[in-house]
Amino acid sequence: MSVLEFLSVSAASEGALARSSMERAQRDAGARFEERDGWLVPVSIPGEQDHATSVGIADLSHLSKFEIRPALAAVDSGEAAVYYRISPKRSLVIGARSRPEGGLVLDLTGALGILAVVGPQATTVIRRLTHLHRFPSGGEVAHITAHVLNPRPEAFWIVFPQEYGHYLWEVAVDRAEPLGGGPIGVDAL
Amino acid sequence: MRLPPQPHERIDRSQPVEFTFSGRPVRGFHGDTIGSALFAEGRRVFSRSFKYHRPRGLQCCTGHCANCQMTVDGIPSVRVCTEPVRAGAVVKGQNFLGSLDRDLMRVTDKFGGPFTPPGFYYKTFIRPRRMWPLYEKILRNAAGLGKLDERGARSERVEIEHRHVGVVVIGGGQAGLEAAIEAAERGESVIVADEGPEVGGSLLADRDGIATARGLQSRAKAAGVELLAPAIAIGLFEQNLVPVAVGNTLLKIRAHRVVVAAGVVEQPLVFPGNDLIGVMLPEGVRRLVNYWSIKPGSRAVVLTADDRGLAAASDLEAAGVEIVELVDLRKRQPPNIEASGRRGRVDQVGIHGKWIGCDLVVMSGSPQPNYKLLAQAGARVEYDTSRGIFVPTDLPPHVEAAGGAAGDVGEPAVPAPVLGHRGEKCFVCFCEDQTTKDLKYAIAEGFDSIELSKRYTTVTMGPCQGRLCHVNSIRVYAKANGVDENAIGTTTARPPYAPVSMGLAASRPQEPAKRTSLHHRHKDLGGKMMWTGAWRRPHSYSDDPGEEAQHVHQALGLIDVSTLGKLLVKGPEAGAFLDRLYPNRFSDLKVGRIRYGVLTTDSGRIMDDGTVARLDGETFYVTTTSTGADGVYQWFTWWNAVWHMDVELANLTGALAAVNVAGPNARTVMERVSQDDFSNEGLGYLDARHVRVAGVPTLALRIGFVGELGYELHFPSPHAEHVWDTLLERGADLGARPFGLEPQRILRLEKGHVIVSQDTDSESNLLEAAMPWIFKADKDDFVGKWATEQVAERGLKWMLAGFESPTGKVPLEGGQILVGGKSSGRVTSARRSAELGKVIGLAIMPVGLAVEGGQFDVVIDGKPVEMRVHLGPFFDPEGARLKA
Repeated sequence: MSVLEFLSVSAASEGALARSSMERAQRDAGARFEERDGWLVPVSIPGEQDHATSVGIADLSHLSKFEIRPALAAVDSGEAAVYYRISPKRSLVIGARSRPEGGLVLDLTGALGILAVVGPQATTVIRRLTHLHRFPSGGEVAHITAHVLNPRPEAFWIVFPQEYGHYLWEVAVDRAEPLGGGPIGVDAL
Repeated sequence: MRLPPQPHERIDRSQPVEFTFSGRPVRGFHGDTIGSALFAEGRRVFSRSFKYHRPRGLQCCTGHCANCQMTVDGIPSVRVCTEPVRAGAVVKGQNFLGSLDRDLMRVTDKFGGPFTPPGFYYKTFIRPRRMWPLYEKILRNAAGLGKLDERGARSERVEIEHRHVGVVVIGGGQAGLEAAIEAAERGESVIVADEGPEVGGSLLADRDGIATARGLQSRAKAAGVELLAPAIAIGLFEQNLVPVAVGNTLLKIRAHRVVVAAGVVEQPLVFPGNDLIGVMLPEGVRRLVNYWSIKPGSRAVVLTADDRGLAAASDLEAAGVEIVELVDLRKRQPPNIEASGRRGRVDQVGIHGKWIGCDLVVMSGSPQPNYKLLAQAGARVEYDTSRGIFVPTDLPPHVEAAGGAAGDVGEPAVPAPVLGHRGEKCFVCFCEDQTTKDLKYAIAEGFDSIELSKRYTTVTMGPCQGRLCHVNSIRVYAKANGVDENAIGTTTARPPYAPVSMGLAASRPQEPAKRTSLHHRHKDLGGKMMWTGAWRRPHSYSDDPGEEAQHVHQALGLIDVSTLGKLLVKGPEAGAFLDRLYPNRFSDLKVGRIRYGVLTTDSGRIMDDGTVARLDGETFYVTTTSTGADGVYQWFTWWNAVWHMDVELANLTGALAAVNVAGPNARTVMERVSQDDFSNEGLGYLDARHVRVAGVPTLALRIGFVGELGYELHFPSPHAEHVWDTLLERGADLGARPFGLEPQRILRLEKGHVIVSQDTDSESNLLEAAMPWIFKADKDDFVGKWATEQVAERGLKWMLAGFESPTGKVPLEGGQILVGGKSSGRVTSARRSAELGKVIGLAIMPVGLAVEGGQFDVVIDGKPVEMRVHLGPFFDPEGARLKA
């Protein structure tokens, strides 16, 4: 076992199902879950079709997250992963199917949650959560420190310390609801 | 009375809107304001003035003056001249005794003058002093604005939204829209914020200007300008931050450039009777006629210093009002003007002795550039003597002024500061009922500087905040003192520019809270949750924390310690790095071993504690206190930046959950959930091993904060519930139960284990905290070394030591220690231990007292109670259970 394997969510054997810190909030919203790649993933939530026409809030915490030091110059585009250069010393690779190569590679899959904010009103919700306006960048989001990525038009990912999961979920859904938005499952993305 | 429909009117006569005023129904139209609807139905008295309770009517219709303030749906002091009608609104007058039309407090106007000069409350009602509470009650009821309904609390949703644009234009009149269009056509992103019902400014009140306004609106939209109205810029702050209130949303706009095109504020003329009902400003009259199709009177006298009065006269004539006299002050300035009337309503104006019957007076002084936001941003203002206005100069970088706000107002006349001296009261400040006589009185008393006088007379401190009185008051002071207006100067302009609700300024409440991945399990099991820093943690799971603690001694307990700080220190110099930070050594720690560590500051004060486990030659795993995690991580990164050592640091606090499994049955349950060797040989005391628990890769640390055989398991947070559930399930027959923070406190106290910041404070050092064994004086320099050596050199004065309470009484934590009746230290921790059958604690005491059997008193319930010093652990002093 590598000396840092105890960080790895995916290294658990069968029977151990990983859960997001937002799982209970989504369960309360009536989410339907499926087991995918060792995670309990919220695949659909009642009302998501209506929500998605305005702004949908989804939990992507099951995506892998690796921090690489020093920062990689680029990522193999075949990976279909999202790459975020935090600084010259640190980069984050999200959604990679395999562990990237690099100097020091830290598996932060269990450390970070990801909240997706998607839809025509996504920009408005982001503006109501943070002063950040150029993406990707990191700073204060709803009074916590987080990174905000903009992987495609009308889609934002908030990457944050997972222990704030329930709090950020509540705040994001609260900002979405007056706009006609709300929680959606990952299959609605 | 309503005029026949006009093509440019803003009301929709097909949509009537009904509301009530003083319990009686009032009918208006969509597009009306409450004020215009009331005026159309014949209401002329809208309020009672602050001090004299004089009847006041519509004056400006732009939301600047205080004449139309009423209580609407329980909200006091709403300016109804700009408040849109809404169905079912409940509108009431305020500040009267009796009725708005027949206010009994009007007597203060007739007789109160000599008793209510400026600052009268410092003189007339100051003696006897003991009567002040009664005077205050009388004065507060006699004078004022609206009253808050104490039972009228309501909840409204507010939003805060952050915006970033190239240009924000404050003011959507002609100058503002033209500036916005120009910027947008150059490719800049532009927002225009206007406080009116739509952008267009004074063009909208001009029959001939409406088409121009519409054309500019279309061009602006086509250019991509974002038009916001009604939207009020409440200030202009550093770095071009302009908060704009749009309904219940506060837009925090940051712009590269700010253009202030806030227009002008029409100024009243100062003459006797200038506050009578029917004396109005030009914009007020034009809005009545052109917005709401209302004929404001039958016979009008117009007194004007500029074209605004002439434009108002033209609109009045088109509405069928007879202009009986028009005085253009640019051509002639009568030496004396006064207005008089009956029951507070104007019915004639005297111009140099000639009396003219009228029911409407339009007064227009020099139009004052609306510079307040510019002044907030740091611009200076200078008085232009040729035009009688203050003009902004020396604008800060990236802030511009346009149109009237910049001083582009043509060449108005400069009216005399006071145009008449006989007859009715001559008001300078309508909001605070301050007359020319009051200002002269204040000057005579020595309050001749504008800042002093403002505070003494309260001129400019009313609802208009100086919009309609500041310039006139300065001109009166200047004349009375024989100096020019620049020598008098202006008072400081401060935000907010306009009233803003506290809710909007405060934003939506959101208090970040951290939860461990086991939070819901604790609640499912009946945990009583409490705050520890930003974390929610279970205090206990039962009504008897003492019993919960005993169960750990007898069987098996699980506690969620996920909140512990967890830091990775990795690199070729990791060991040396830790040696420099900690008073003890870590570079010689063997792989797979753990050592307790205490961090000290440069001044040798204890700042945090925890364990350090060595995972391999270059990798150390450091734990910290729960509340110290972020601080210690910052400490580490700061020193790494100073020393430039080859070390990587990572804060893994949230990445890993941690569970402490403790009790005589701990080994047994671990053997059921893991195939790894948990024997004393396989995982001995202070060993660290990589294992698998319930299939999850785990770092197991054999340590024992609670004094029993124990394993602290660190594993990925997303697997927390799985591991916890498995432990409880497989340990059910072994008595596996969760225990909370309170039982943990009892258990650790039984072992004499210190909690940093509970048993230590910002002055505590290693030596006086009974931890001299941590301090390795033979090491090379490390943080806090010199300071701790100084403590040893000067000699110890205090000592942290244990005690027992022979009487069984529990002293309060923080309780003073008394020796010879004198305060000599304090209790830091105290609990009753069910396992030991006694009350135990820790205390900071004089070093000479810290001997076995030493005695001191602590006051409990007002009486000194004896305590006895006990050195070392109270429970299992040899650590046999810990090391089993």
